[in-house]
Amino acid sequence: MRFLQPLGWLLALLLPLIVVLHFQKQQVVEKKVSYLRIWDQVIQEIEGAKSRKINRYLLLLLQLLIGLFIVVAFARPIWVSDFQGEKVTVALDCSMSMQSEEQDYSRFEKAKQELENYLKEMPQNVKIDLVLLKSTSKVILKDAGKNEVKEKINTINCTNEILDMEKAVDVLSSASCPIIVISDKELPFGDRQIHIGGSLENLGITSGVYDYYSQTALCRVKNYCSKSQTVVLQMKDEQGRREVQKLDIPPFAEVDANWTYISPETKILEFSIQESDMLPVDNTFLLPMGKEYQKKILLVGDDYYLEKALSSIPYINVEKRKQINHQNQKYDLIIMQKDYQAERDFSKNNVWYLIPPEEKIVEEKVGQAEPIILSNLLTKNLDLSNYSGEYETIIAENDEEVLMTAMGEPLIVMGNNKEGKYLYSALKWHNSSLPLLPQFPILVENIINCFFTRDDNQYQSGDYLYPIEGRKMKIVGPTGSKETLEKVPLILDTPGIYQITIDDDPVQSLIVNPPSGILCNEAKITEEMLSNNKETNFTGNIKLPSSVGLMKGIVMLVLVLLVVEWQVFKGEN
Amino acid sequence: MQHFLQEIENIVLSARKRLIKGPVGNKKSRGYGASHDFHGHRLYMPGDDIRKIDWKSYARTEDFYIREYTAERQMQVNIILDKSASMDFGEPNKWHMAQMVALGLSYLTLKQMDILSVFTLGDRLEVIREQMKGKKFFPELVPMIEKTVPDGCINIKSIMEWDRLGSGITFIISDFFVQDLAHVLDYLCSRGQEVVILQLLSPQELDPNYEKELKLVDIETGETRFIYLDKKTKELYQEKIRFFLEECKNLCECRDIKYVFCTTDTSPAAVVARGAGVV
Repeated sequence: MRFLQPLGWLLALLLPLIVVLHFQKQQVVEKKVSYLRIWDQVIQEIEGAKSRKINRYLLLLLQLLIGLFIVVAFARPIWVSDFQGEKVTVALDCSMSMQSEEQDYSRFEKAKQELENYLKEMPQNVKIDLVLLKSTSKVILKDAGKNEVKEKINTINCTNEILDMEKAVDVLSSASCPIIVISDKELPFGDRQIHIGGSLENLGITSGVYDYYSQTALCRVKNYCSKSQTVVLQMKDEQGRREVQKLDIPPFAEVDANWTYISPETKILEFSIQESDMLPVDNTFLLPMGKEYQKKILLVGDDYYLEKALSSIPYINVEKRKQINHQNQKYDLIIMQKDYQAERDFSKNNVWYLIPPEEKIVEEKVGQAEPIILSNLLTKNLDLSNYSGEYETIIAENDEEVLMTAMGEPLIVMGNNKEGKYLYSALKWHNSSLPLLPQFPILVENIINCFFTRDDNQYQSGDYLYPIEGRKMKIVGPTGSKETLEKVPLILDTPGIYQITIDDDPVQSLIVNPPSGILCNEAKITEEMLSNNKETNFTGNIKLPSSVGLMKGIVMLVLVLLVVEWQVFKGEN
Repeated sequence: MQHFLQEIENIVLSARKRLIKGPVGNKKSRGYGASHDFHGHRLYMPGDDIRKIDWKSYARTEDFYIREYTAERQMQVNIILDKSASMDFGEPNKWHMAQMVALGLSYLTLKQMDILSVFTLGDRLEVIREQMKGKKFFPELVPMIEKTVPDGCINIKSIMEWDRLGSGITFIISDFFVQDLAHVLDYLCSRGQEVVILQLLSPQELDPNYEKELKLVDIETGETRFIYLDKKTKELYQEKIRFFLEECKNLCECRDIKYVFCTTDTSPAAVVARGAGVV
C-alpha cells in the first residue's frame, strides 16, 4: 500500500489529543457522600463494574481507530500490486497544467515523485520507454533501465505547452507494451492512470485579438473551476496606461472582455488577471499591435490597383520593390508578377504569383463569367457576381486546393511545399472592372489571409522556430537568454517577447503567449483509435502494477466504526 | 427566623402518653395526685389519709370510700440534635434544616412552659442547655445552637449513657446513618420516653445527580470507594436508600415511636408540625 499524499500522516500528530481528551473527560471526580455503607452495598451488587471499564477502553480504542482511519484517508492510500512483465511505457504529462501548485509543490514534482515510487515497485530488469506528453509528445527514452529513467526525470522540466491528445495517442500507439499515464487530467488512453492533484482551480486568458478597423481589443478568459468566479482583468499598454474590467465567469465557461478606442499607435497590449490562482503562467497575455509585429509583405513589380488595395489593409506592412534581391529581411508573403524560379528558391517564403507559369495555364479566355468561390477562406464578405474581363484557367495539381473557379475551370489554386504556401491567381484585373468594385480590396485581403492561419505574429508556447539555412540566426528570449539557431528548430516555451537577429541584425520580434487551454484535439480522438491502440498493446502474459484507491473503503469503515461507537456509548448510559 | 416562629406559633406540643414521673406541673400524669381532675372512688385501706374519705358516700353506703384525683406533672422535652459531619451535606443543607427544626421545637416547648433540655449528638452526647423553662431562655438558646458546627462521627449509643432524662418527649433530629438505632430506641422506650424520630435527608441523597467515574469520600470517616455511576447503578442506589428508610420506619413503628421523614427541601415549619403531631 502506498500513499498519494504522505503529508496527510502529519495529522496523526493529533491522535494523542484524542487520548488526552478521553482521559480528561474520564478523570475520576471526587464526590463527598454522607453515608458510604449504602454505596458499599451498591458496589457489592455491581459486578459489571469491570466490564464497564472495558467498555470505556473500547470507546477509546474505537475513537483512536476512527482517528487513525481518517488520517489514512487524508494520506490517500492506494493498493499497488506487483508488476510482472518485461517492458512498460511510462507517459509523463509535462504540459502547462502540470505546473499548478498545490501545497507548495507543483503537480509535475508530485508526478515525478509518483513515478519514482512506481519505479521502486518494478523489478530491477524491467525495460521502460519514457514518453513526455505535451504539444508534440515524444519518446525520450527507449528500453531504458530503472536507474536511467530516474536520472532522466531529474533533468526534465515542465513545459508551458498544451497537451495535444491526437499526437499523444499517435506516439503511444507505437508502444507494444502496457502504458502507464501519469497526469493531472482524465486521459482516455493508457492501461493504467496515476492521477495527480485535485480539480484545477484556475482562470486563464485563452486568446486576445485586435480589430484594426474598429480599434477594439478583445480578450477571452476561461474559468477552469467547477464554481463561478469573479475576475478582475487588466489591460495595459507599453506606456503604462491601464484599464480594468470585472468579469463573472460561470464554471468551465469562456467570457470575452473588450476595450474600444485603443490607439493604433500602441505597440503591445498586455492583458492580465489580477487574482492569483494555481496556474499563474496563463494569467498574462501579450497582444502585439505595432508595425514590427505586423505581417511583412513584399510586392515585387508594379501593380497600381493591388498596391492601393494592400495599402487599405491596416494590419499588414507592405514593402514595394522593383525586383527581388538578396537581403536579410524575412517576409511573411511575397507577391510576384511572374514565377521567377531563382527568386522562388531564394525566398523560401509564402508566395502569391499574380501571373502563373506557362506550364500551369490551360487557356486564356475573355468574356463574362461568374467566378465561383469554392474555399471558405475566400468567402468572407465577398460577392463577385457579374465579373467581366480577361482570365486564364490554370491546372490544379492533386495536392493543390482550388479556391475559385469560373465556368468550372480553376482560377485560383493554392498549394503547400516545404518552403511555404504558394498561390496562383489567374484573374487579369487590369483588363476588367474588378479593381473598381468595392469587393476588390476585400478579395485581396481574403487572399492574403489564406496564407496566415493565425493572427499577426502570435505564437503559442510549444511552437517551433526553424532556422534559415546558411544564416546565422540568434534569438533573445524574454528572460534575456541568447540562443543560436542552427539546423535544429527551437521550441518557443517561455511566454514573452523574443527578438530574432540574423547575422547580428535585428530582424523580427515574436510574441509567445501561453496556449489557449490545457488540452487540444480532444475531439479528434475516436473510440476506434483508442481500441486499436489497446488491441496492439495487450499481448502476452503481462500483469501491470495495478493501483486501487482505498480512500472510499476507509471512509466507509470510519462510518461503520462511528455507528459501533454510538452503540457502545449508548450501552454505557 | 421571625417568620418561621410566626408560622409555628399555633402548634401545641403534647405527649401521647401520660407522664409517670417528674415534678408537679400542668400535664396529666399516669399516677394519682392532688389535682382537681376527679378519677374515682375506692374502698378505704388502713393507712390512707382520712381527709380523702368521702363522707357523703359513707352516709349512703355505711362504707368508707376514698376520693381519688389524677396527678399533674411537669412535661420534659428533650431535643437531641445530630451534629455529625454527615449532617453538613446536601442542598438545601441538612444541618441548617436540623437547626431550624430544633429551634422551632425549643420555642414551642418554652412557650408552653414545659422543661426543655437540648443536646447535641456527636461521638458523645453533649448538653447545650438543660432544664430550661419559659420563653426567656429562647434568646439564649438560639446562638448556642447556631454556633454549633457539625463535625466528627456519630455515636448514637452515647444516648444510653445519659441517665438524667426526665419524663416526657424526646425528639431525635438526625439522618440516622447509624447502625445501633434499635438498641437506643429500646432504651428510650424503657425509660418511659415518648420518642419522636425526625429523619432528614437531602434530595441528593435520595437521587444522586453524579455521573460516570467517581471517587466517593465519606464525610465522617474519610473512607473512599471507586464507582462507575451509570443509570443502572443509580437505580440500584435508589433502591437501597428506599430500603434503608423503610427499615428505619419499621424500627419505629414496631416500638410505637412516631417517625417523621422529610427531605431538606421541605419547609422547616412543616417538619415541626409533623413532629408535634399536628399533621
